[in-house]
Amino acid sequence: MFSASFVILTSFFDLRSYSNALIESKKELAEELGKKRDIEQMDNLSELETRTRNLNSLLVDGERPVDEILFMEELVDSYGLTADIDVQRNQSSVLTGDSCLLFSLGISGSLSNLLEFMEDVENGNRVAAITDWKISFDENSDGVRANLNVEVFTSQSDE
Amino acid sequence: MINLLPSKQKEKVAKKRSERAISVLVFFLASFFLILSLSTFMVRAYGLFVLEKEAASVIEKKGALSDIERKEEIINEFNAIALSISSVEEKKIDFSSIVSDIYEIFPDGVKVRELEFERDHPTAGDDTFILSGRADNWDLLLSFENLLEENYSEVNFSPGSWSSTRDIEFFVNFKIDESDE
Repeated sequence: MFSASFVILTSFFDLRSYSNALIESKKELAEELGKKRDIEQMDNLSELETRTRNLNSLLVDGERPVDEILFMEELVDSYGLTADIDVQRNQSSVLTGDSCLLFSLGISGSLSNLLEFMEDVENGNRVAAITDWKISFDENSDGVRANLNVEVFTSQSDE
Repeated sequence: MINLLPSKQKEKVAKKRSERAISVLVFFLASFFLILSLSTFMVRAYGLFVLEKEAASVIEKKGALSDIERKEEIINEFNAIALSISSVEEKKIDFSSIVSDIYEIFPDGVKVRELEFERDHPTAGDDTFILSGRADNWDLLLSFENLLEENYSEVNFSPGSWSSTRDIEFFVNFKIDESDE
């Protein structure tokens, strides 16, 4: 008799606690799913990852400034300019406060080439901004000497 | 019916009867609890089966939720990068075209020596262009001032710029309107 009562009671409590836990879990789940319904209906995961990767590729790797120095040297050369290049890592942008590489460029060449170079920096395939600059003109020729501060923004993972 | 058995025998029969009644009662009680236990066990097994099925569906939904959470993480990452890039694009100034525009308005006879942009100018304030150069005469400098005033704002020549009439070394700072940036 005792064992029968024990079986009945334990079965009842077992089922009750299991069922309560399940109901709680279902409620929480429904609540979470309700909150994230909009996200669920958005694009699929791989497409989102691709878009994020594409966007992230506009930002450079802050841990590899050498790559960016080489890139900047090639860019300067391609416009027939000569430059002294100095770079500082892990700088905070004066524009946005985000992490960036700060290039200090001392450039010599013609004004037209300098302007084309500046345009390329501003609108090229990197997120970059010229922040401060000074251009000294040679009165007897088209030659200029310019000092530019260029911020090249780095990816989030570098922060 | 008259019981003609001797009294000793009568007691024996009565005892046997009560013993039988008790054993029948015990048998029925035992059967009852046994059946009750079995049926409870069956109900429990069925209940567990149903709950297990529900639990499996909950686990499946939790899997979907973790997918959504991963998606949310990627969306947040995407938004952070997009926000950072758009913030740069919004705040940066297109200097190449500005320098080009400034250079174009110089009249003949006015030469630029230095052109500079300071984000935090000590006296003129934020985002100031500073220009120094030489003008052949006072009239050319005046016409240059007018051109600057037509195109830019807060044009301020240093007082010394107007002190001579020929070969004037001038110094001016000005700003561009935000809409022109």
